[in-house]
Amino acid sequence: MQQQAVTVTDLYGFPIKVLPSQEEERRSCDATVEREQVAWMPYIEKERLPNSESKLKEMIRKGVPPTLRNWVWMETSGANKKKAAHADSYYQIMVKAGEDSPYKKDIEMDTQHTFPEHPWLSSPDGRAALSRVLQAYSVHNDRVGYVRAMNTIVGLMLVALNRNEEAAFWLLAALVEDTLYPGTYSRNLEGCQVEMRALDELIAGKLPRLHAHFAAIDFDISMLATDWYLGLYSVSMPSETTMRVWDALFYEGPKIIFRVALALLKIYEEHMLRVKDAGELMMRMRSAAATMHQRDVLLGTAFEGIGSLPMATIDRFREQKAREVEEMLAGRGIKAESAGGATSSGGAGPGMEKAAEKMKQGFGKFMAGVTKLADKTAEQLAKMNTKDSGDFAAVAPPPGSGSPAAAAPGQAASAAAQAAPAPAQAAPAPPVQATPAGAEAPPAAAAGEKHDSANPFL
Amino acid sequence: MGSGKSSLVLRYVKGQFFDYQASTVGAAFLTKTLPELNVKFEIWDTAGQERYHSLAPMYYRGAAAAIIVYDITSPDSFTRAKSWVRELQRQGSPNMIMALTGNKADLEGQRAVTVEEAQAYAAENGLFYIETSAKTAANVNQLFEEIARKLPKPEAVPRPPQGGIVLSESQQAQNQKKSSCC
Repeated sequence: MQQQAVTVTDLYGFPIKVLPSQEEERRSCDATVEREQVAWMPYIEKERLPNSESKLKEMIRKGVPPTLRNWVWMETSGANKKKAAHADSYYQIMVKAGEDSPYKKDIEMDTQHTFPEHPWLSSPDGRAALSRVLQAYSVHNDRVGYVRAMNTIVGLMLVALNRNEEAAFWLLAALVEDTLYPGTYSRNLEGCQVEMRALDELIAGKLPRLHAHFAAIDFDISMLATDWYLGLYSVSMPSETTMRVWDALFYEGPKIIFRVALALLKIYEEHMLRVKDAGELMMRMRSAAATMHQRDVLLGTAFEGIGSLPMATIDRFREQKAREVEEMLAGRGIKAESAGGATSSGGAGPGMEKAAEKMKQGFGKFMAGVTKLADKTAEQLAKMNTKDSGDFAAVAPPPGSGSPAAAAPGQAASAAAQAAPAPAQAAPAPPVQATPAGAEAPPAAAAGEKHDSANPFL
Repeated sequence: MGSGKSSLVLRYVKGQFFDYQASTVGAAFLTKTLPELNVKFEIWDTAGQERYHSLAPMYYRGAAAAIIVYDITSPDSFTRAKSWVRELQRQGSPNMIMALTGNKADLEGQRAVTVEEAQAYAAENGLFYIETSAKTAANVNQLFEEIARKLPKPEAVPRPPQGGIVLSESQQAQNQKKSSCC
């Protein structure tokens, strides 16, 4: 049976090309959202999140209902706290100051290249909104300024947060200043390099065969992981999948980036072991991640399929790698940022302290925003669910798309690996197959485009 | 816009030009084979923003050639190109062929870096110099073909047979990377 890829619009307005089997996977994951939404109801009524951390973690790992993301993210990430610690008008002041940001040119250039396929983000309105947030942030945190990758992160935040620019600003602040490994966006991206080297050690421990293969073909995991650690998967996977990762990232922190990285690698391990060229491996793996619609499988593998991942282990590697990165930079004659600089500045820009006054913000204020829900996201979700409601029960869940919690460790991953060949066998030849030399490998498809096609490994 | 590295590679490999090409964070990888010259290009298109500078070595390590691209309408981008040249001279492999490329030659009216200046710099540093336009395709093929001609001739070793999609480490394969400036 020949499967024809169709273009559909995902929940966040990205046009994606999917095969019928992939569309089923997406719908099956939507059904999970629908089911899990019930668990959130009591908390919506009470206008507060569960007190129990383990309860909250469990609910978040299963996915935050899209209409609640604004509320939940702002709470769990600490963005609301940050916002409350500044004057009401702080964001507006930063927007104004941002008009003279030293990064204005960089930002202007990159906003022209941010998700060019997304109708709103590529429109003058979308670009202007994105520029305002990025410029404001670059003056708020002038030690970090603007780094490419923030554009796609904020772009995705804006479409997920119903274009709420101020919310995106504070979420970015919470991420860069309090959540991610310090120095991730520093002058030489030291922190990002430390994280990627730590990941390499974790791969050696968890996926030793793959690690040996990477070494044999001279493949550096940073070739893939730069997008993961700097871009937080914003350009790496379908937006609906990335949002699930972010749900957990905002609550549990950067460990989630490691878990998802290891899960992606585990799911495609067998495929990667057959690719003998570093460049080809990079492009194929990127394309594979870009078609990861089985978000339940990915997250299931991340949480249940890769075993324990104590923060102490990550921290031990980080310490060791931080020294290595420092030596590497020194060896190349690149001046490392001072220890203080590597830790991203959390403070307000100079001169802004005066303006900062504690803002009393009651819970009800942002709950009002949540309950309004007149946002496009809710509308779209509703439309989608109405349209497909008859199908949900009838659609047999694809292999591996069962409840992640129910999957035994390792099970979810193998299920995904088995499921993966199906679309590709039936699909029109994927571009990489067309020529053995791989000359047609999609150019930088992952770099800011959310395109989909069949499994690129087959 | 940047200096147009990604546009240049896309123009060469796919014959296409996009006004709004998604910008590069990691690096893109493209290949193109020139059977008549017995060369297969493996092209790494790296990010131009200065902060990404420190990530570049893994891409240029072992490369046979590097193309350093600047924008002829931007003196800043020419300055950054020079800093890349210095880094590659220090850190790249000693036989690496370096091509200094002034892109956006279609914007002659806005030119800010003169041919003479670039030519003199290239001569001083032993670089191959050319001006291109990814938009009009002017000189794009010439750039890559000239690099192909400058590459050391490979020994004639037959490719081992390979099944499926697996790409062999062919003896005729030449690594060639695109470094940046922006």
